[in-house]
Amino acid sequence: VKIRVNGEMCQGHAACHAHGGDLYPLDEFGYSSLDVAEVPAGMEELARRGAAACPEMAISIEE
Amino acid sequence: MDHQRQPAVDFDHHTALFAADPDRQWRELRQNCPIAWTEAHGGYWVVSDYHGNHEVLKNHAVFTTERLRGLEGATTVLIPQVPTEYRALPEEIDPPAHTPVRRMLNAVSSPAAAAAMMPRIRHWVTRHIDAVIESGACDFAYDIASPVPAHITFEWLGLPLKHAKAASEAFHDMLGYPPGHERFTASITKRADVYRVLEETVAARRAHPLDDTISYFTQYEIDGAPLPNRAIVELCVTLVGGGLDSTASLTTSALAHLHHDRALRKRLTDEPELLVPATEEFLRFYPPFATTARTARTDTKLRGCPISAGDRVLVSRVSANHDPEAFDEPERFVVERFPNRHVSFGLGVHRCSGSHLARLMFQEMMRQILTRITDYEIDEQAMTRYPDRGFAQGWLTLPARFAPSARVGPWAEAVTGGRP
Repeated sequence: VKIRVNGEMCQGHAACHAHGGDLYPLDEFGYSSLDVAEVPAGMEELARRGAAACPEMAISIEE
Repeated sequence: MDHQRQPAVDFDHHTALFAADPDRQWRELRQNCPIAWTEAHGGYWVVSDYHGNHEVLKNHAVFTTERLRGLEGATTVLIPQVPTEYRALPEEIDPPAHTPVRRMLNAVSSPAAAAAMMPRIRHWVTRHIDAVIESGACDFAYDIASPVPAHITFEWLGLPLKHAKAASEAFHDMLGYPPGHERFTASITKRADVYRVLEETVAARRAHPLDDTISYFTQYEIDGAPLPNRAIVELCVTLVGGGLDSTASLTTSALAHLHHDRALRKRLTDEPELLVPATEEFLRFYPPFATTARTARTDTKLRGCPISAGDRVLVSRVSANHDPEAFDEPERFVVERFPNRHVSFGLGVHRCSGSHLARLMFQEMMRQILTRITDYEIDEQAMTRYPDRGFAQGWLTLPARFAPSARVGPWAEAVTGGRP
């Protein structure tokens, strides 16, 4: 399972980090620093929560 | 050249009729005609569904906040435009000019930067509650919700704190009283005083930088050049104007809600960790800025509706937040609603930069009020909303009584400059 963040669409709401924790690191400006990341086994649900929280709909989960 | 703008509706978000029942007005518009044209205020499109908020707010190339020809001298994010001495920066410019200014601001308004302010947020909330807690009575609006964000914001920027109380009253009264009312007129004078203090502070920090946010702005360089004082003042005007009464409105809305819903008040008191998801639901239910506005830069279409270059567009956040296409049972307040992708902080490049600080200020005010003033009763005869519900929504006055208790202080000096 992969997280894919559309960096062009990220506006720094930081909802992914609030709901998905360290799976969704932020840069020093509070925007997602992810492009594509592999989700560690067992953390898929957290990854899905972080993606679902994004008000810009900038995050997709690839199964 | 001028085509018929369809579908046309009879709608005006600033009338007393609208203010009497905005929920119903938005619902009817959203259900029947989510993209509609009205001739009120010189004519504007009204976008009232969730999808439409995304389409407009995320497309700044077409739906701009810039002061295009014919829109100079007044803010573009309100319909009708309101004349302003300062352009809102970076709100009223688009990329690419917007990007470096926003980047400068993001570095001091990120979640981490806001979290670092927690000790000061706690301090100002405690002091303001201390100022009223022995008396057993307060006005939540004027004594806590409005001055607390003002003190935190002033301290963060590096503005003289002695002006914070008057500034909070200026921005509060401006929304709470109609133009022509003596309190509205006084608020314009008080706001001019705030602007003068801003001008003076920016100039002073330019000459002698201190360890505050205005000094950081004056020392920051974009493409090797510092920003002119005027731009920094415009930025600070936006932060003060956007940051003070918005958080106040959210807080008064939540306190009024919890006056009526005692079971929820008890839950939030017993399980304070619920305040975090509850914050998002309060934001969804009661967006402090119910609407925003854009201008079409070019001819375009919005779901088939032909929009002409120069057309003004009103976007309803509060209506989007109650759109059943995006939220299950939108009329129900669900503390732990998830996902809760409300649009109260906006979408797109102009997302509220104060969103992270606002959440923390709101949560700390609620946490301390629910712990220390847990039995409050609001005077239902005296509680008064802002009269106009088409832009800002909140409570002008929220007088409350509660069992008196002891201060946590002592403090060296008083926080409040007396009740208005």
